[in-house]
Amino acid sequence: MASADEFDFEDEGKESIRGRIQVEEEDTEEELIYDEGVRTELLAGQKKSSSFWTFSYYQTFFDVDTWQVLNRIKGSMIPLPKRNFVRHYIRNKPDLYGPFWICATLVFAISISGNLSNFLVHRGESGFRYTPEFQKVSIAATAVYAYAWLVPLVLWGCLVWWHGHAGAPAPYSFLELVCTYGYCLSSFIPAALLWLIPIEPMRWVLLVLACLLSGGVLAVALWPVLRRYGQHHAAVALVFLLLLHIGLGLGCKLYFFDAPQAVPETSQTTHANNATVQQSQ
Amino acid sequence: MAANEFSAEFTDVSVHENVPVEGNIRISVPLAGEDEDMSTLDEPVKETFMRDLKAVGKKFVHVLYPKNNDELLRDWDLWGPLILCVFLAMMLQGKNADSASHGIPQFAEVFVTVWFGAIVVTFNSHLLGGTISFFQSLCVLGYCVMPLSVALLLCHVTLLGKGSLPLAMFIVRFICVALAFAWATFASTTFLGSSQPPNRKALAVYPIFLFYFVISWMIITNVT
Repeated sequence: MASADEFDFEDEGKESIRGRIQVEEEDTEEELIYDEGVRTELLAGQKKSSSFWTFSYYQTFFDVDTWQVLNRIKGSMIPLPKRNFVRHYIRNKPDLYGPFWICATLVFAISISGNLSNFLVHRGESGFRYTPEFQKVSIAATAVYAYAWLVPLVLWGCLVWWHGHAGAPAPYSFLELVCTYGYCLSSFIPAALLWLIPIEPMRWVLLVLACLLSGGVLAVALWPVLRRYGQHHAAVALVFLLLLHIGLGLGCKLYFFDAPQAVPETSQTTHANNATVQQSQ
Repeated sequence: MAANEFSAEFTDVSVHENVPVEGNIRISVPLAGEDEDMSTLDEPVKETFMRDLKAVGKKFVHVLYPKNNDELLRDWDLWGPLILCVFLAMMLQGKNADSASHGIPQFAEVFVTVWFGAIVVTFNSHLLGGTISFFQSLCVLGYCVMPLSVALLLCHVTLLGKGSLPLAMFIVRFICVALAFAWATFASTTFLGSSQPPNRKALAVYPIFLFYFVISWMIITNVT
């Protein structure tokens, strides 16, 4: 029905038609994002058919299948330069299931793993009584949920403000940002479970690995959008966001997981105490 | 002619008098039952109490032998979940005033965790497209806490030994709680499983797994 010219990719003028076709490699990333941004706005307008206060509005964000969620988790753990998480995996269908339950899992993984590892580390000490440290669950929940939902909110606000000057909608919607951040936290879950083993060097290696993987996916997803405000500003913003990400991992590791003390010192002190007690008797 | 019919205004349509009408009207509730319900006002309190108690007890039995039947879903009630939650919170709470500083959960913490967790899990399965109602799901999740309550009782029994054979007692407690956790998860997925769309079943089951896991963790770390 259409002539061959309409779908000619080399024609610079027909940007709007190019945008309708999901091209991964041929198009430059920037044009793809601009066209996709227009499409996102159109689709977002179509999606908001039910009111914000009705139940069916939120049901649209849980419209995912098991394989989709697993696919997105896999994509959030493997940073590849060509695979923008938002474009390749979310594809204008952000969901809230992933961010919410990954955050919940991370909260309990950190609290439970931290409690167990502290028990293993402090077990032999005199005067140690085991407690479940239940108050740490609320601290972990506040930290994780605040990071996963407030940082995307602030970032989205900044993007809207910057784009508002140009008169275009923000390239990523708020839910896409929440989705990206939520799924990126999934790299910390295996790290939190393996931090149970009280070997300090291994814990640092795990932290670095988790930060690299999740930070990489975040960087690949956010760089094309930030790049448009000038290389300098974009680099500063991206470094700041990555520092926040690393800060979360570091904070969790340092606060919830006590470092294993030097064991020989403790046993020597105990033996010395026992020797003095026996001598005095 | 078909086009004319469809483009005609509604006022132009006339119904012939001799069009046969067929149908089937079935009344699901027998009319006599309504009279019986009205008369429960006059029955002695003991009878009302025993009827509700029997209903709750029957549901406990259903959880003990989970088979895919509808009775738990049809006649839902929240008495069982309330009794179990209060029992759990009372047993798990810290005994003395400064136990909060020792990290042992207080009554309110356990109560809120259990109810809030159950509500969030119910919302989740509802949002994913589950076909059963909010309170039915809450009822099932609450009743399936029963194996964990039994495990908590057994843990308390082992803790009565006051420190003799700590490792063996810990292993016994661990096995009890693990079995109860598996039983609770299996029972709730038996009752709730069929109401989920088939390609999202794992998405609905995982939060239930997490919910019972957290409760099991609270039970097994209760060493006072």
